[in-house]
Amino acid sequence: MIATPTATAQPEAAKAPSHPLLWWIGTFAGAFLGGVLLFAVWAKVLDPLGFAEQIRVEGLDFALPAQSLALIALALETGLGLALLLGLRRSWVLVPAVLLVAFFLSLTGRAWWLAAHGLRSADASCGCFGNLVQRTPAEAFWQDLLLLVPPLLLAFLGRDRRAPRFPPARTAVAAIGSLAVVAFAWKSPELPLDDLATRLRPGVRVGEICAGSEADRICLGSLVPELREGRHMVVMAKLDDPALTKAVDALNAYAGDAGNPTLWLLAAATPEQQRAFFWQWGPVFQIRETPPELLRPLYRRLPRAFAVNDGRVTQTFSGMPPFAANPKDSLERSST
Amino acid sequence: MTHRKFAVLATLAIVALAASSVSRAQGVPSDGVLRGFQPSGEYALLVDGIPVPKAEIYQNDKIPAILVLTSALPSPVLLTPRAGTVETVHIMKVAKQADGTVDLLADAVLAPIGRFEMAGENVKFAYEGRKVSLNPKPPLIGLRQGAELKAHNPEYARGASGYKPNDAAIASLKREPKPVTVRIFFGSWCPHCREHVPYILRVEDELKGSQVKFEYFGLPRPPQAWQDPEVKRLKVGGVPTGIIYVSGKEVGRITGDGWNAPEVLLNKIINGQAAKGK
Repeated sequence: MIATPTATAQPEAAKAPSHPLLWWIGTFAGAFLGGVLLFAVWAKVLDPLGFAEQIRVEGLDFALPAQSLALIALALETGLGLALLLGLRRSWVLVPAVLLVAFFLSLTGRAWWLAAHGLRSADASCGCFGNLVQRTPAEAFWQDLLLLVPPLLLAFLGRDRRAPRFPPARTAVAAIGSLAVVAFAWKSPELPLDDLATRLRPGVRVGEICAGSEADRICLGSLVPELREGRHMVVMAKLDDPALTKAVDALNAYAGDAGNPTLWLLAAATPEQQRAFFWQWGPVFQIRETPPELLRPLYRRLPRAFAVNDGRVTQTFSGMPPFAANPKDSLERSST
Repeated sequence: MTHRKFAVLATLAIVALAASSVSRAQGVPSDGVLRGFQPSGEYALLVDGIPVPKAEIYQNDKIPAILVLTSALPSPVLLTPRAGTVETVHIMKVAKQADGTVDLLADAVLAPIGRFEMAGENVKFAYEGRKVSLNPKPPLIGLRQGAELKAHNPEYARGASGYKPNDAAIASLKREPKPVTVRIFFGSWCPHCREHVPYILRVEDELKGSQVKFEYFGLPRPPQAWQDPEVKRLKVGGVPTGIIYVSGKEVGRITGDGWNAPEVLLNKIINGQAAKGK
């Protein structure tokens, strides 16, 4: 049977966008969603270890290691983001995009449900601070819903089904972009990107480094008011990190020299942990409990250190500050 | 020379020697390192399991070291973290200073008596058969007055005397006609409360006789702190938190950065304007 021209034209017409305006709306909505996904990728690719930590916290690493999952998620998010940004609105892009958005919403929705039912206490802190949330679980859910779902739905409008399913150039850009992001994320922790990836960089004022919202907002400048004047050296570390405990002698020697800037240690440690550290290691520098919500955005890996002059960050150091970076050497030098 | 004369001369010689010794001791300077021990309110002393509330415990953050003075032990005891050593020093070699600090004299001899051990949060050692323990002080819990905080931990009084509140805010608060109550939720275990609550203690001292009254609500250590019915009822998210009531109605809170100058925020909340000059 030979199909009549009319019979073949009808399916083609059905695949064509119903209205040019819808096509434009769909294209812009898809590009917007793609931009949102790529923006999220940017934040995560600079600190993939932090992203993997979040995956662990959410308990999603039951099948694969968190770091592998982080790389897979980054590849998927980048590929979809680039495809949408480049106007690819075919089912192989939109269906995974729907699944991805549904996954994000299920995470924030779950967090909201757990908090609402008291299963994830908003007051889980062990120190002086409660939970300094930037946004409540409910706010997070609704914000994600409003940011992701409308553009996703609009992206379905005016799809041009006559276009090639895998346009070579755009598909290649999305695929290469994904691979490039994975490669970058793989190497990112070793690259000197701390200043770029975190909120701590030269020029920032300690009063501008804050966590929490409204009345519960707390800033580094009020946690350690002394930083607002004079010269200071601040080390961020975990109290049980061997990188810190090995450096205590060097840090004590530095703190004991009156000519040096005042030395501080910021740690997300409870008073009990601080007391144990005091008796075991005998620090002569002050330790200040810092809420994780304030501390976490300031580093990719601990320890990290920074110098402050009259309330302004003047220098940052990946790892311990230079005088304590190689404690064995510094001790040998001081003993000769 | 008769025996009586000899005895008198010998007595005079001993007295003269003792007087000379005392004067020398008085002239001995403080040790260059073992000096400036500050009164600490962090620990409570137990000897053979019995609390010794009158024990004086001092801390030197620069060494660091802890000095324990008590009549329940034969001599003052010096504990040195990290080294883990416990040493005694003669009571005559401990000099209390006018500012409340304690120095050891330069000729003080430290006699090692052993090492301390950590048992959980407690520091334990033995001294002439006695079992001695330095335990973290139990937290102040429930409704308290400012004087109780100062008595519980000398750091509060020290911090209060060192704080200079904003004059304009204090003057404005003194003129407040309505009854104001500020209830401060705090944890005596919380280092940030030790830093900031003394500020409000000083403000309270400055506002004595005014309509602005202060009360302090001590919380147990977390996680129990966040389960306290008052904390849940009033949605206190961290300590210290000051809740301000005017004529019995909550009008605002001192939290976060507000603790840098609590009197300024207090005045701003009550009078709707920030005091100038801070």
